[in-house]
Amino acid sequence: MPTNQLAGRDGNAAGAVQHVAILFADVVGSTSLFATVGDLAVSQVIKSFFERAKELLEIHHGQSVKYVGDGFMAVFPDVAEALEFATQLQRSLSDNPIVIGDKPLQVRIGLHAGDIRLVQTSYGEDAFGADINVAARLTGIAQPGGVVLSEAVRFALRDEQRRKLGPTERIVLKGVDGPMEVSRVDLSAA
Amino acid sequence: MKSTGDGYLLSFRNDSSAESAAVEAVECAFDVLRLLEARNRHLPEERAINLRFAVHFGEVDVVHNDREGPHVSFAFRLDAITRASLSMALNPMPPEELPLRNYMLCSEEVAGILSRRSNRWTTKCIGLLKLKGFPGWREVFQVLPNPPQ
Repeated sequence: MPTNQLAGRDGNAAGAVQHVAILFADVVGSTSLFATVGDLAVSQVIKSFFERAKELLEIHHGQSVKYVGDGFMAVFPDVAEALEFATQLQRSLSDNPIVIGDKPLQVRIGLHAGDIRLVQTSYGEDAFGADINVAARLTGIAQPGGVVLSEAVRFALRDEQRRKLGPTERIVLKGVDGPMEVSRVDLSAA
Repeated sequence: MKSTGDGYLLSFRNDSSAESAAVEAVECAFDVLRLLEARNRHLPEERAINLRFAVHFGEVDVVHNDREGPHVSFAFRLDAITRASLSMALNPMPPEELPLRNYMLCSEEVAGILSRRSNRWTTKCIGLLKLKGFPGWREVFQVLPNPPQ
């Protein structure tokens, strides 16, 4: 875990360690997709996507931490709400597509639970912690339009939510020692 | 060697030990930096030349004496990283710790090579970044002399 972001550095206000759900949403195939459309069209699409995400974040008590060009990172105090957000966002994009070129925008969502620290930096508030990297890498293995979650999230869910998940898969994530068990959300389940 | 307009693309190759080319590239870059700093010290600000370096390692295609391929593109993306990029990175170093000029960044591949093949340099992770045109998050490192000066 990086030790250069701990409390009190250069007078930056660092918050206490919080245990949260960490979510990343990444637009699928942004490079090739956006190469075929003009910059203005791209920014409009991304803007629509972020607006839709913001609405849902409010409903599910999530906080966006940063926007990273073709996606965003959000944290939630409650794992169940985070999962609900992820599911609703994917459903929304499928029922009510945001079209780019002639294709619907698709995102991959990864959800993990772990410790972060919110820190005030020279560029604004940011979150720090090794679990953020895990969540980010996890997102890369989600299916387009899908949600993948770590075992830490699965453990924190209630039974009725666990039923919405597919079987666990054993994978090795870059930057993480040892295999991890992940599950995918079955979005066809009601 | 090819001019990019406001800089140069250099490629280094070592046929007996492929990875050593990365070490040689870093050594060359630091030699240039040292010479540059010595030169700049004796000149007024407006005549100073300031650089930043990006070092990556990978297979490239040689086409008409030029170098092409995804690893070349990756090196250019690395080169574009500045202090301002850190706000979009994950677990970034404090931005004020990355110099505004006369610094060197490298990819994860090069950081691995340096740790295996040289003790003259250390690498410091500046964060996880997304590089345009490349999927996923990449660890990017600052290269520093060992011990740091």
